[in-house]
Order: sequence, then C-alpha cells, then structure tokens
Amino acid sequence: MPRLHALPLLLLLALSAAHAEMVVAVRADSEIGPLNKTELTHIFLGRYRQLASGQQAEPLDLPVASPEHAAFYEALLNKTSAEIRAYWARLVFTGRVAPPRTVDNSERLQEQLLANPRALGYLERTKLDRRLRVVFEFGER
Amino acid sequence: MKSSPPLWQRSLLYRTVASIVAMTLLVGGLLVAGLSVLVKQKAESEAYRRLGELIDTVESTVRIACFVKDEQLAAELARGLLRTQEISAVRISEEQKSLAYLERSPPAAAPLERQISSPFNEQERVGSIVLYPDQTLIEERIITSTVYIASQFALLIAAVAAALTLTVYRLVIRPIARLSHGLHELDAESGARLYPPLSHEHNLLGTLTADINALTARLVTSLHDEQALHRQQEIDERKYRGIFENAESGIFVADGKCRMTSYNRSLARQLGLPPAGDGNETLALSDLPWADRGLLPRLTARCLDENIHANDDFELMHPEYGWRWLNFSLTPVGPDLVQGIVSDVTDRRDAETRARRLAITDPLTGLPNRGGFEQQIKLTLGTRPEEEFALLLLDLDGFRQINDALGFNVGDQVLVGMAARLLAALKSEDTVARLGGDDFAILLPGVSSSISAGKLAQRLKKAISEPVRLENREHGLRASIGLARYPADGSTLPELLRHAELALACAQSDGGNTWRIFEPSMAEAVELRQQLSSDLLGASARDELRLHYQPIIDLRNHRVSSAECLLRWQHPTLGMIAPDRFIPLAEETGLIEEIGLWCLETACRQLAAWDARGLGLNLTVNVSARQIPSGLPPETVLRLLARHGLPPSRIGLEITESTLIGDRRAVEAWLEALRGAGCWIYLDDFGTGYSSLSYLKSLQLDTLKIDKAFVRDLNEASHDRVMVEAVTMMADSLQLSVVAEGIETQEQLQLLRRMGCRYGQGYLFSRPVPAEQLPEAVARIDALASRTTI
Repeated sequence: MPRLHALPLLLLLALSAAHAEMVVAVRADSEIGPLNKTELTHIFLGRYRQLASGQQAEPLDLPVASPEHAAFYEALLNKTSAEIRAYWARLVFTGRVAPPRTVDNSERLQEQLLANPRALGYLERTKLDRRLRVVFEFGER
Repeated sequence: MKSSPPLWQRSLLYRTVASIVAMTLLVGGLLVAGLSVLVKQKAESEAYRRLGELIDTVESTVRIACFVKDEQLAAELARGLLRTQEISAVRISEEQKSLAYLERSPPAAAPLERQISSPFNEQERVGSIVLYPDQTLIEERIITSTVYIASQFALLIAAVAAALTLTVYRLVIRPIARLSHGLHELDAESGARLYPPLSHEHNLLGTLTADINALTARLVTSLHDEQALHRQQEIDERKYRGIFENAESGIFVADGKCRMTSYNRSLARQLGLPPAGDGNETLALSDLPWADRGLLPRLTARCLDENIHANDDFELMHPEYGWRWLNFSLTPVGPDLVQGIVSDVTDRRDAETRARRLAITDPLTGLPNRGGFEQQIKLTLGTRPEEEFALLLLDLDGFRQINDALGFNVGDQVLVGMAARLLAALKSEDTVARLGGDDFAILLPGVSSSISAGKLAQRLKKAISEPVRLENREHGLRASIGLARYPADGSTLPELLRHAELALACAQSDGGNTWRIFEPSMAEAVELRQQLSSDLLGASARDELRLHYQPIIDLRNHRVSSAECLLRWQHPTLGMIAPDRFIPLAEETGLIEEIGLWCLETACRQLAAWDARGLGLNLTVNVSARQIPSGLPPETVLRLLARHGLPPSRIGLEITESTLIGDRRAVEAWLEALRGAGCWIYLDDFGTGYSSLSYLKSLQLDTLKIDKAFVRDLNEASHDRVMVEAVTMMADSLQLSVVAEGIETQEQLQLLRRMGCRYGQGYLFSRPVPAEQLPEAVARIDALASRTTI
C-alpha cells in the first residue's frame, strides 16, 4: 500500500521535476567553460565530444524513463524521450558513434561529475552544490 | 469490272492511296518526332522525380549520418540507394568531407543534389547527398516509349490508309469506272443516254452524268449540222465546178507571178493552151506570146498590191486565130492569189478602132475632120514644139449659091473635087482637113515666111478657081484664104485657129477671092467691133442715135421731091459713127429690128412736124434684109403711119438686093402688103450685088437707086455711062423710076439728066443734114432751081 501512496507522490515529483529548472553542470574546477545551446546539442547527440577549446567532453545521460531526461531534452530540443531513444537506435546498429553514458540517477550523476572533470551532465538546479559549476542554463530563453 | 482494271484506274487508286499514306506518314513522322522530344523530357523529369522520392525516403537517416558524420551509416545508406536501378552513383557528404561515395557505373547524366540539414535544426546545414541517375536506363526508357508511340501511329496510318483506299475505291473509282464503261458502250447517235451509277444520282457524279449527256446531245447535233453542211458543200462544189468548166468566159486562178493553179476549158480555148488537167496547171500566163509581155504581170501586181479589182485588154498572138484582143478582169482572192475572168474582145476593139478612125474623118472627102485636124496640130505642137508651121483656112466663095441652085449632091461633088485639087496642089507632108461646110484647113509644116505662105495661098486660089463643069455648065469658084503662122501668130491651137479665122474673115470682107495673113490689127478691129456691138445695145435708149436727111431732087424741075433718112450714131467716146460700121453689127445681133423701128418712128414724127410747118416732103427709110418679113411687119408700119396721121404714100421703104436672097414668097408678100397699102418701094444699091434682072420684073418695086459706085466715075467715055444708061432705059421700060446716088459734079448731073434719070441725090445738092437744117437746105436747092430754070 505504501507503494500505492507513493505513486501519486512520484507523479507529483515528476511533474515538479518537469517544471523544475534544469541546468548543465560540471565539476567546479573543470576546464569546460560556459556552453551555448547548439554546443550542448552537438555534444549530447554525438556530433562531436571535443570542444572548440580542444577539451574533451564526456556527456552523461540519465535513464530515458527519468523525469530529468524528459525535461532536459524537451527543453533543449523540444523532443520527447522516445524520439531521442529512436534517434540513438539508428546509430547504435550501424554507426560507430555511441550515446552519452547513462547513469542511474541524479545522485550517481553528481558522483560522476565530481569524479571526472571532463564530464558534464544535467540536473535540477536545486541539486546543485558548491562543488558543481553551471555551464548552461535554460533560464535565458 | 470483269476484266482487269485498266491502267489509268489502277493509277488513280494507287495515286490516291499513295498520297494519303504519304500525307499521313509525313504528319505522323512529325508528330512522332515532336512526341519523342516530349517523351525524352518526360522520361528525364520522371527519373529525377524518382531520385527525389528516393532521397525523401532516406532523408531523415541521411540527416543523422551527416549530423554525426558517421561514415558507416552513410555507406550503409548509399548501398541501399544503389540497389535501385535508376541510380548509377551516390555521394553523401558532411560539410567538410565526403562521408560515402558508391557507384555501379560511371555517372553520365547530370546529378541530383540535395542539401541536408540537421535533424534538430532545419536551419542548420550539415551536409549533402548527390544522386547520379543511370543515363542508359533513361535512354532505354525513351526508346521504348518512342517505339511504342511510333508503332501506334504506324498502325493508325495503316488503318486509315486502308479505310480511305476502300472508301475512294467504292465512292469514286468504281462509279467512274462504271461511267467510263457506260460511255464506251454508249451509242450517242441513236439517242441513248448515260445513267448515273447507282446511289450517286444526286451528287457530283449525277451532275457529271447529266453534263455528259448534255454535251453528248450537243455534239450529236453539231455532228448532224456538220454533216448537212458538208453535203451541201459537196453539192455546191459540183454545181460551181460545172459553172466553172462550162462558162463561156475563161476563168483561172493564178499567183502573183501569173502562174495558173487552175483554169477552165474556155480559157484554154481562148489562149490556145492544152486543156487543163494534163499536169501542166503551173503554166505561166506571162510566157504566152503577148504583144507586150510586161502588161499582164503589171496588172496582176497592181491588183494584188492595192487589193482592188483590175481589168485591162491585152493583145495575144493566138496559135490558130492570129492576133486577138483579150479582156482580163482580175480580182484578188487571197494573199498572192488572183482570180481572173477572160473574154475575147477582139470584135469590140476592132469596132472601137473603126469608130475612132471615123470620128476624126470626114466621110465625104475622106479628109480628116475638125477633130482629126486639131488632133494633128496638137500632136505637132506636143512632139515638135520648135518646128514652125502655117495654119491656113480656106473658104469657097459662092459655094452656097451653087448648093442652093444645084442641090446638095452637086455641092458634095464640088467639095470632093476641091478636096482633090487641094491635095494635088500640096506636098505630102501637108495636112488637109475639112472643118465643115465649105471650110477647109491646111497644116503647112515648115512654112513660116509671109512670102512662101503667100505663094502657097496663091497657088491654092488658082487651083480652086479652075472652072468646074457642073450639069453641063462651067462654074467658076473662088476661094478666100486666111493664114496664121506658128509661132509668130500664136502658140496654142485655139489662138492659131482664131487668128486664121480672123484673117479669113478679113479676106472675105475685102470681097473674097483673096488671101490674108493674120495681123494684130485684125484682132484689134474685132475687139472694136465687139465693143461697138455691146455699146450699141443701149444706144437708142441713151438717145445716141440720130437721123440725118439727104434731099432727093427731081432732076426735071430741080426741086426737092423727098429726102432719104440716114442713121447716125453719136458714140459718147468715138464720136459720130457711120452706118456701114454699125449696121452690120446690129444685123448680127438682131438689134436691127429695134433700131429699124426707131428709124421709122422718128421719120414719121419728123414728117408730121414738117407737115405742120408746111414743108411738103416725102421720106424714104432704109429697111435691112434682116427686118423682112417678120422684123418689121407691114401692119406695124401702117399703124405707125396712121398714128402720125400720115398716108402710106408719104413714106418710101428702101430695101437691098440681099433681101431677095431669103424666102422669096415671104418677101414678096411683105412687099405686096406695103405697096398695096400705098408705100413706095425702093431697091437700094442697085448694081452692086448679085443682081438679076429677072426679079426686077416680078417684084413689086417703084424705084431703083443706082449705086454711087456707078455714078462716081461717070463721064462721057466710061463704061459706067453705058451701064447707067442701060439701067435707066430698062427701068423706064419697066415703068420704074430711077434715083442716081452720089452726084457730086455738074457734069454727072448733066449726063444723068440727058440719060433721062428722073431723080438724083448727092453732095452736089446737099450732104445729109440734121432735121433742123433740112428746111434751109430745101429752100437753098429750090432757090437754085428757080435760078437755073430762070
């Protein structure tokens, strides 16, 4: 039963996450500087992983089912998670380009970010702390 | 249709079908050519459209491949596209470099390129895809399509041609063939008609059939007319051939060189030719023996050149009949062709020649007549104008009397005899002609001087005056001759004749038996005569005539017994003119009757006036022979006298011997009437004329007047004394009084008195005086008488 009580809560969370402001962050001391939307798109959708400054970037994805995933891609490309999954599906069979590495949840994402200075990932603004630095935020749109 | 179709029919069909096929092929070929262009364009655009569609199917994937620059994905895509036949090569490129390029065959046609944008941003260009179409395939398709269309057309053409051929054959060829066959079988002359092909009665073929029928009918009619005309022409030809052959006149047709193309029998006879039809028709007329060979060709040429009818006579030596005259009458009948009619006119020509000769010959003497003579002179003047000659006119004096007395037969004998004498007296080159009556003319060539002319005239006169014996009596003839010389006295024939006549008249008026050569004064005299003659016409009206009076004296008592009225003409410019100059003119013109009457009238009035003054005279008036008997009828005389209250015995009428030459019975009646009424009759100028004592007895006369010619030379010894004495005695015995005229001397007076001459007049007593002077003259004479008697 608690599960039954937990579901509306989760939905509520998801909804709140969807509405929650998503930001892209790196470790605070990362060499990666602020990015624009196009750079972010190219990095996350496999066009390139090397920034103009020559630094390697390693994007991290959250599971397709996660609300952050939906919120992020919706905000970035106006696309659903299903569409993103289909996109990658074509590449996975034939191409050599791989999708961003997926971590299980936001906590894991934080861990990865903190562990790897070249990594960047999206999370809710509320989950930021001082160890992380925002390189992109949707607020300005 | 049973036999194989004739060539023209096959040909018509063939040509129709060939033409249709050719036209269809041409149009079809053009259409196919045009369509093949369209087909090519369509095939190409179709190919590109297909390529576009292919790109559409893979575009989303290509976007991804380009977006992520994934060569594997791009190569996979290209491989997939190449499976399609239309594509020969594929290139997929991202912005910097080619991601994949695959080809099945080297690209030939223009490629289709499409720009590829990012899957996430339409504006962001991330690469391109290029597809090369397979040209071979496109061309194969074009060929296939074209062949398909062309074969469709070929089938259509074949179908249309077949259909048309069949239609033409059925609707055109076969009906025409039937018509043609019908025409072949048609017997138009029997009136058969052509029938239109079945079911074509009301279209063009029906009309054509009707037209053919109408034409046939007309042709048949024309043929009949033509045949009738031909038959008529044959009849005419035979008819005219008959006329031609049997004509009396010679007929021929010849060209401009007189070569005959045909002629009839009559012509052959006339010209002495062999009969026509012996192969010698081209005989030339000009080669015949003509008197002048050039004449006929000239006539022919004139006939042809002027295109006129021409005719003339030509003389031909006929082989049998000798010289013949032939009349050729030519008519132009075509260019260089004449038709001629020939008739023998020898008789007419001979008659004409005779008539011409006769016309210029005097039949009595055989000499040329006036015409012949004038012709001769004209010839001389025309041919030898420089040669001198003399023209002589000769008139026989007294011939008329012989003719009157002895008749025309004798007169003719005389003329013939005289002609012979003249011929004998002349040279052979001289020409003698008889102009008419007793007038002869002689042309004397070479005679120019008056001396030789005079000698000749003398010789002729002598020849004429040789006595002739007629009816057992010798007669003496005399000749008057007038001469004119050429060129001295005239240069033309009329002038010469006139001048010779003037000279002759001159010779005659000088008493005859003489000759004169023309002188200009003769012409002047004639002119004067003519002037006087015209002036005389109004003389009495203009009061230019006067009567003068000469007393006649009774020689026994020396008293004036009567006076003779003598006419005077007071001419306005020429002065007083004596009666012997104008009375002959008055006699010629007939004015004498008017003048004579005036004289008698004036005399009567004067007599009555003098009676009133107690001057008891009688008057005598001269009466011209021309006035007797009708010019002055006795009743006119008597009426005049009665009007002035005068008895006829107061007037004496003086007539001349020439009066007695005329109609004796009329003259005698006239004399009888007047003398019976009481008038005195005087015979004037007795002794000068052709006096015959016999008529003195028979005529009603009272007095003889002895001509002054006898009195003038009267003396004791002269012959005239004997003459006058004899006349006086004879008159006395005949109980006629005698008046002696022209007494000028006392000697003459005494002689006459002694002879017993009762009356006298003359200058011794008084000249003729005007009326107002007469009483004085009478008084003077009477006074002288009383003195003499005293």
